[in-house]
Amino acid sequence: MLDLVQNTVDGIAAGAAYALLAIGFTLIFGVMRRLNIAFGPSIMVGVFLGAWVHAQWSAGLVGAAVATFIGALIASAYIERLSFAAIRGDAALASMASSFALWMQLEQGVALAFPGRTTAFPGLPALPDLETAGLFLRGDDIMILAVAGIVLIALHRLIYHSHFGLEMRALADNPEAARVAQVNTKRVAFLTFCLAATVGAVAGVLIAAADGQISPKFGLWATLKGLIAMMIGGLGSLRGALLGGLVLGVVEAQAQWYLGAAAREIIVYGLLFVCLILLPAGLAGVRDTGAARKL
Amino acid sequence: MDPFLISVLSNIGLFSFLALSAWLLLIGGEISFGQQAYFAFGAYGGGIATAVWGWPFPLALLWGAGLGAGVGALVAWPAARLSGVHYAIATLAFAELSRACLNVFRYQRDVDGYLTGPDGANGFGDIRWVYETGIAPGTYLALIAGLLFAVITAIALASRFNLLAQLRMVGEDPILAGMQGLRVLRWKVGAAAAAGAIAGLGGGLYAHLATYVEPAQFSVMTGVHAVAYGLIGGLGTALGPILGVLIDIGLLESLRALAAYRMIVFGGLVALILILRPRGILDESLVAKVRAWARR
Amino acid sequence: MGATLEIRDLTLRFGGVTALDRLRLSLAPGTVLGLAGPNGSGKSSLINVLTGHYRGEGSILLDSEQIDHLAAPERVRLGMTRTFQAPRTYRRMSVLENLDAACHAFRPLLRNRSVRRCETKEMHAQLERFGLGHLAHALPDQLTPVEQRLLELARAHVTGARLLLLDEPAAGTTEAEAHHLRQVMAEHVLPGRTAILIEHRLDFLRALCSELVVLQAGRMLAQGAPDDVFAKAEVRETLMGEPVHA
Repeated sequence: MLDLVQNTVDGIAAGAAYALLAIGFTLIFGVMRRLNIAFGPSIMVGVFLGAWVHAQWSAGLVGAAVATFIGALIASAYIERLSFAAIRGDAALASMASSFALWMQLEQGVALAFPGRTTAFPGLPALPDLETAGLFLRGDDIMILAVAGIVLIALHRLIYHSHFGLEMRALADNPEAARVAQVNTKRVAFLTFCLAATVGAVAGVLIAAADGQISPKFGLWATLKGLIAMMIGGLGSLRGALLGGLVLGVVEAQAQWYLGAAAREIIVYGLLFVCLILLPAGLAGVRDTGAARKL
Repeated sequence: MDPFLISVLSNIGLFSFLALSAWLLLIGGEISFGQQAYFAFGAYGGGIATAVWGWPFPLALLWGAGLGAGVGALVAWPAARLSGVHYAIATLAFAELSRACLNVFRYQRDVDGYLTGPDGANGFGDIRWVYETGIAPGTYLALIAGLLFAVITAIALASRFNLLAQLRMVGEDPILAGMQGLRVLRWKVGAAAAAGAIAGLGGGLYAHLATYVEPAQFSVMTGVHAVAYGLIGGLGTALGPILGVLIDIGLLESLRALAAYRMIVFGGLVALILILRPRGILDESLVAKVRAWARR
Repeated sequence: MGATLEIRDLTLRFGGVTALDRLRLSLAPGTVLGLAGPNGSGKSSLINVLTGHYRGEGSILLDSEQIDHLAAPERVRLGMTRTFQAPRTYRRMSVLENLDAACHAFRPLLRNRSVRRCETKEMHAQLERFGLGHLAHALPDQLTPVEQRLLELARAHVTGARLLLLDEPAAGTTEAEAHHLRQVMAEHVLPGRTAILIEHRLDFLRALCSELVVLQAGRMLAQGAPDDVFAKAEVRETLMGEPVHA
């Protein structure tokens, strides 16, 4: 029983990072109605830039984090310009396809620039571990939960209590009406990408710092985690992204503990597949988001 | 023929099966990131058939293709109600699920004193039928080309009998197609079965050429490439995905200088082409123009 | 010969909204039923339920056969077709191919050339009849709005369907264009068929319909011969705000 609860606690910490990734995907999909498959790799560019900055100038976690944000922003801007802004509104498939072409580019680019299986990334500041009632909460996990919580609160304020947030929501709800209401859709789209990159960069820094290292597999890994969390929670819903991320984290932790790594993979992908078939609206019960578009 | 050239052409041929598989689904209006799973089933199925069960090669290939078709249809049946992003992610999920399952799939039997068969993540080696029967690489290439040609001919026949046009109708506007009496769900499942068969056939051929397969070879990146080939080569004709494969493997692989940067160049090409021609180089309007010119 | 259509207690609910409320209708063969009413009164919903796009409660009988359990493609194969409020075409196929598709769609494997109705020569002839002969190889995007509407009508015609559901076939056209569409419909499309015609243009309804139904909030407000229905005060009140063409 204690194991179950402990795993849940561990899972929530990991899930918080997944939730941030899922939120990044959801922001872009919600506003643009297209999936940015290259989101994970764009974060990867960021964390590798962070690692490089640290290696060059011993910049520490703060320096690496700043570099990560910059790298993720540049990569996201690149993707937005080439795969989204440049492609006609009705060719949603072409956008998604173009984004995975850029994924190929970014992945190979990073692998060439940073040969070697892993690269070092500065670790999280040492927080004391917490032990209570037989449950163990690692210092790293406390840090992740705290930072993720702050980001989520800030994001909520931005989306629901700011003018920009209103524009984003208008565009997400009804692009034609938003355009008529003088919302500068191109600007909002671009800034949404930047926002998603920022949120993703936070996730990237947290994950990389907790691990102390990064590998070129990070791009695919982050993409898969973010996508799975987003789809479990319900495509297009921010609440769903949060919920999906936490559920994914907990399911992974439990599966890993009781059944091992190989079974964990099977359960996670099986869960995603079953979720999609039986619950296309996701856990958050999102009804038709207009995602069923013509190609 | 130069052995390097034979090897490159064989690769082009094998990946063409995968590309055609993804292309068929694209025409039907769905993007699938998971065709590599049926390629894998064909590889494992065909490999087990010859290496473990001692089946004749043609039967093994048929078995691989059949597995691909069967599983493809089975997956498509519930998934066909989904569309767009949901369908794409569902195919991705299934492919990764398959790969995760293959990582724990152990099926080894004593064959001539050796333990033969898939060994989970350690892979599946000793698929030696081609080498035991002494088939030359050139001959095998001819076999690959022949079967690929057969598949393309089958697709051309489908076009002749109005089947491909109906699939395109389902792909472009399923609601309109339904309102014209097309049973959309059947078409989607049928297309998935055909696509699975094509991928499975390619997988069987691949396993016997490579003699060793492992789950890691059938990754998401492979599936993403498969879709990219159709999108860059063009959705207007079955030659489109093959053109895409030619561009990636043929052009870039054989230009040694670019080899290390292949994905960067290919990715950049795809992104640029999609801006100018969202349906690829050989898209429907180009094909229509060629047809109109031929009619004159 | 047109089909008979019977609707019994048809109800359709979306969340909290009742789009159709226990509707009852009976159409004899050859009836052209006009369907009028303010926006949101349930006109398009009725068509969507009849075609099977939405599932409601109640029963629908086409030629005395219950069809409410059937999916849309099956209903179409029984002899029903519809046009769309915003013209829907296969934008990657030519006008001729679009017409061909409507005719061929559920033919079995082989192009059934023995069926005269679907031969290429006949397709060209039909295009001529609808005034689209010179546009056979054009793409739908190159058509003017009224030409697109003519294509919708031509497609409905070549299916050979005996029940037509026409959703605002003249929407977005000028007076003259609407008049032309009216003539085409009266001459080529409607004869020998049963039809339900949704329109806001009352002159359109008056000219083509043998019977008229006015809906309001999913319920039938009035039913009868067009002139009788328009004479009713509550009908004029409901349809107020729309120009009544004498």
